[in-house]
Amino acid sequence: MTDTAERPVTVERVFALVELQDRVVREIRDRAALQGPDAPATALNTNQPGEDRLNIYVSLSAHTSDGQHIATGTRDFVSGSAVRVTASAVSGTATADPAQPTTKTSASTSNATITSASTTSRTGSTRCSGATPSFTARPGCRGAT
Amino acid sequence: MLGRDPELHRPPRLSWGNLIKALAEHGIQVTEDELINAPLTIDLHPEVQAELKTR
Repeated sequence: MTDTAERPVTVERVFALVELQDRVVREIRDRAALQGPDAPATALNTNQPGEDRLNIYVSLSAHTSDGQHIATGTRDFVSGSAVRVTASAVSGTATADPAQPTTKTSASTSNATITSASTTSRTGSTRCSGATPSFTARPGCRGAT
Repeated sequence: MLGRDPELHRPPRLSWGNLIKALAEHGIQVTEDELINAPLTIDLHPEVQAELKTR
């Protein structure tokens, strides 16, 4: 007997790409170019108050049971609770990024393992590939800040 | 925000809407609870990873 019923497509895994605002990324790259990849990180500080806000953006995508990788094509939420207080060696005192919205987020992750990184499209609903696991939370314990 | 305590008096609104819509555009119907329960991978942008590595 052959199973001819079409199985519904399901989501097998969800991906959350974590990015910083473009200005901060440029400063990190500039610093690395001047001081080398092992330069101490002085640009980011998420624990102390300051007037320069650090935004952490998260873009979502999903891998489905039929092999598709579907991305939202946008930044789905932003964590603005962290603060950037220390100027990088290249750009001097940093300024906030007023063009970006800020939404505080909170959640928790555990049993995490960092292994690699990837990028995804930001234009329209997009299928993309090459998303590589990097920071895997325990199933059922969902959260990203 | 991608998760919440369902027993909160006022559970916060989550950020799954765009992904639910994108999946629907590809003919895949999925609920918020299904996405919450799916395995999650967090990909760090190279600069984010570099900052974490050097701290």
